[in-house]
Amino acid sequence: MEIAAGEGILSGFDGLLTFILVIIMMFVFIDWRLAALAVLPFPFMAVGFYKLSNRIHDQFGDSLDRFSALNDHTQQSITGIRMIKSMGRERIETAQFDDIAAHAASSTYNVQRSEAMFQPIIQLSLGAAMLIVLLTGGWLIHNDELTVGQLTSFTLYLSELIWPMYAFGWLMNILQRGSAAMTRLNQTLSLPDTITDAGTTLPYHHTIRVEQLTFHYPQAQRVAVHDVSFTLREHQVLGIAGATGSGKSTLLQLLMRYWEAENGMIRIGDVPLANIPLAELRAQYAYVPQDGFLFSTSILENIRMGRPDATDEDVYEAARLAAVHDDIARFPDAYNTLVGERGVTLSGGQRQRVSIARALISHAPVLILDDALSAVDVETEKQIIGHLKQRKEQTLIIVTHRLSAIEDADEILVMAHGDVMERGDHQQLLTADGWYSRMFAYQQMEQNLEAAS
Amino acid sequence: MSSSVEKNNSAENSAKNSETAQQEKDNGSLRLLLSYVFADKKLFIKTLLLVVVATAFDVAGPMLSKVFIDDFIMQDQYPLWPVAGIVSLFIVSVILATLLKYQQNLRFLDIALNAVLDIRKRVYHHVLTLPMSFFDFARTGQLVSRITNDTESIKDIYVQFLSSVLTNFIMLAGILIAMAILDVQLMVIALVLIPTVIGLIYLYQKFSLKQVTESRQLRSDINGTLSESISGMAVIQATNQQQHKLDQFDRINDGYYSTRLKAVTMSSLLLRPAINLLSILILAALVWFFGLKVVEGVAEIGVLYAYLNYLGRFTEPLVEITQKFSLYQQAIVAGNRVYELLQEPSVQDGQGTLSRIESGELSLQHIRFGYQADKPVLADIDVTIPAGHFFAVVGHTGSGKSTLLNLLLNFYQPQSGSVKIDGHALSDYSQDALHQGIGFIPQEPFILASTIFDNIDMGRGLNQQAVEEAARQAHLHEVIAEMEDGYQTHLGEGGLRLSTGQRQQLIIARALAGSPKVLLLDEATANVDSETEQVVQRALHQLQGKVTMIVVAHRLSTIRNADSILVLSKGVLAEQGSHQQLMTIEGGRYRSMYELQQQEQKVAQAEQASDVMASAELSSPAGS
Repeated sequence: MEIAAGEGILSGFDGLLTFILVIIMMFVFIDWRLAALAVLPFPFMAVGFYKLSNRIHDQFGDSLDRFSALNDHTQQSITGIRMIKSMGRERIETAQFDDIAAHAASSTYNVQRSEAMFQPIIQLSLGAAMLIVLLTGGWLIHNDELTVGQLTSFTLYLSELIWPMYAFGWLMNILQRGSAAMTRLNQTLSLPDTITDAGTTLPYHHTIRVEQLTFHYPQAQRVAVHDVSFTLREHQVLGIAGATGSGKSTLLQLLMRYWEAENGMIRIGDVPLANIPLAELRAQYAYVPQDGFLFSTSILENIRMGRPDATDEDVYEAARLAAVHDDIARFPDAYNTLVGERGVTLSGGQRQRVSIARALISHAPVLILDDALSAVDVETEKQIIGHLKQRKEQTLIIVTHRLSAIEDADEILVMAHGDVMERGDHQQLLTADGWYSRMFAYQQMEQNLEAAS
Repeated sequence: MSSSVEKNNSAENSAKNSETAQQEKDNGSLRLLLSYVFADKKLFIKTLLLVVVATAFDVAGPMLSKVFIDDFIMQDQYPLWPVAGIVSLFIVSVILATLLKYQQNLRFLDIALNAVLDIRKRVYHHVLTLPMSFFDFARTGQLVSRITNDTESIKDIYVQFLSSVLTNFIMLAGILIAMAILDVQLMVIALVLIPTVIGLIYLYQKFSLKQVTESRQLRSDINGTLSESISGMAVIQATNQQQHKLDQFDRINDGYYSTRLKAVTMSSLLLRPAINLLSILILAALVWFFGLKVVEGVAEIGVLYAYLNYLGRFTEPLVEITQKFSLYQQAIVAGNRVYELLQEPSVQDGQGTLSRIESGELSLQHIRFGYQADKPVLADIDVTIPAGHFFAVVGHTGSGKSTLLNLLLNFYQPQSGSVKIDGHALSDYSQDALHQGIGFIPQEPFILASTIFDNIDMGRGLNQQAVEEAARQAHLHEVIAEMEDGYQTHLGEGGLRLSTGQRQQLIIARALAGSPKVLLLDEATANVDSETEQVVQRALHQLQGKVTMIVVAHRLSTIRNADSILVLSKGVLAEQGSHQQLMTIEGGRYRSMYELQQQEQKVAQAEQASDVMASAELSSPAGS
């Protein structure tokens, strides 16, 4: 597809320019009658091109399908290699692969054969044009209306047309391939975009108030979040716990307005979410997901992404708060170490902490950690949470599976099936024999077992 | 063929000099790629002949024009038959040249696609014969790409490079011959063009190399940034970095554009005009020389006409050949990767002769094993499992449970000690005996996009009765019987979607259908609901006493009834005994694990309770 856009258009344009210039030269400076007759075969060529490129469109689409079938089969047999080997299925898998590969080859053959048709069309048209020129030219010379020199230069011009025609053919071919690929891409990428951005009010403080929030996804029967209410004052810490699918992530997405809750159920600084400009609303949050994504650049730049005008000192400070400074200092180029394919591979925990540093450096009033400490060991987790609590600069929402991360939260919501099942602070929740206290006991036991091994 | 290649490889590996290795790899892959050109000699010779004949007809056109001009136009007389003859010859030569060229292209295509198909098959076959250790350390995505994408790039070597180089060289020769026929002296002048153009191209390559490499680098940056931005979209949006990223992308894009522009400008402003200038100089020389001849009265104007025609096409082949070299380089890189993969040593099929496993008594004798020699995963495991017994293996992640199964499946061989079935080493059995006699149920159910019958049969050619019996044992027969198409119900993409539990049952049925003597289960109940777990448990219970079972389990409830439970800890057998026996060990590992899972259940119950509570709440709108 990249080829389709760039080089195709470039050469198409180049070809078009040459084409026009040559045609003008032929018509104006040599003999318009000769020129008019000489271009006669070209409309046929155009029709041929058109039909051919339509055919290529379909055939290329088919060959893409075949190729992806080939990919699927290969992928499947490599992931299922244990099963294949343990059952001695190599021969069967191989036979299937051969079959699919043969289909892919014949499909590619069709495409390429159509592509090879461009040349005969051009050659025949050009041959016809040459013949016409020679015959008409001869007749004109016979009538003393043309000189042999003019005829010769005319043929030279005519052969200048070869390149533009190939360029057109190539352009059409590439565009058709591109559009066939596009069709496929469109099938996979169709995203709903339902959030309207019509707000104009800016919140003047950052207290988050959620009142009787109920939400279900469009076309879903079950409520994803049911009757949730809480107030989160500035610089407080809210912990959210609960099993997978209990509605924690949905609640966060509603807060950030990736989904639309009924207006007025969620307010920031007494302004309903829908009344705040979307960009402004998103700027209220620094969100750290579980699988912190890092870009292939230096660690410094990755952290600085949170606030492009931050100084290096700010970056170090954020890294210290996220308890990743020491780790970074040990890398070969410290903060200038590249991350990703061309650089070092960070461990899951390091990635999470760099992501947290990135969030900390932003001046976003609300920091959301969405299970963002899952790969960090318990000690480091305590350290980070401690830093964040002392800092008193950001409101903190911590979603976690590991309850130790929210022991110190001002309020903890325990969610199940979209409901708030239990709430209170750590001590209050421990006294009840509910999910929280049982889970806490479970995680303690688990830790002990791990420590013993 | 492959065996000789493998021998080569071992010799190669021993001489581990990276430079010569690279050289050898290049040569190897080139040899591999070229072997396909000559694989079908007849086809190749036929193709070459086609090229020669097509070129001959192609260069005939201007010669015929020359005759037309000199004999008719210049004489200003048009005798009917000779004119008609020349005109029809012209038409015929155009049509034949076109037709033959098309045919020739198709032949090249044949060579290319046959080669791609064959290389692809070979790579795939080879990959399936590689040892398990290869897959455990390979990245699936990369491996798939080797088999599909890289082989596809190889196509360009044949379609674009080989065909273009061959046809262009022959075209060059054809034009020179035609020129010589027309006028040898003039041809010699034109000949001067060749070394000069080659020199020019060489200079151009040298100067543009930087641009070309740079633009290639930037291009991969663009792709990288794009794909990264898509995967990192959430971060970009959440940190309000859209503009920043956009700017960054624009910057790279601009960089690419300008270097690319430089490369293109270089080619269009320097190379082409330089060549054109040269052509014009040659043309001037030709015309001058021609003028001399006219004065001498020996020249024909038609010759000049034909020469002009030829000169226009003279430089194209040279330019095209050089342009195709970059394609060649790309394709050879892909070729190298494929070649490398083909050089991976494959496992030799065992030479075992025992054709079946008689009763299924397993014994592990003082087994030591590590994926890397200095990091033992299993240390001195020594267990005997009587035929028909149900043994369970439990332990933490990394305790060596799955490794134990890998050894039993003969995917790996222990570094010391031995695995024996009925007193014979695994290598004494034939492959078929092992496949038949040992059923394996992997953690992730692998479903074929085919019928239920095929999914149980798995190409073993079982009869309906055997398949049904297996389904019955897995408690799946009733469910299948109720389906409209019964055992012919289609599964997978576009077909019926089984529930997780049913899928697990299907896999069990598949393993049982071969009536194995030994059944291995790898965490088969790790990700299933308790209902499915009970089904699995029931199936296991019924098999107890009939089949030797080794069950690696995360959920302890699945293996409560096992005859013996092996508790592994860091590769060492820490505890062993029945559930009751192990539970009596105060502070024992098994007991702690069991208690942990009990607690887990209590947590789950608390969660369940809230569900009941919630639905009760819904009916009374008072709420909280």
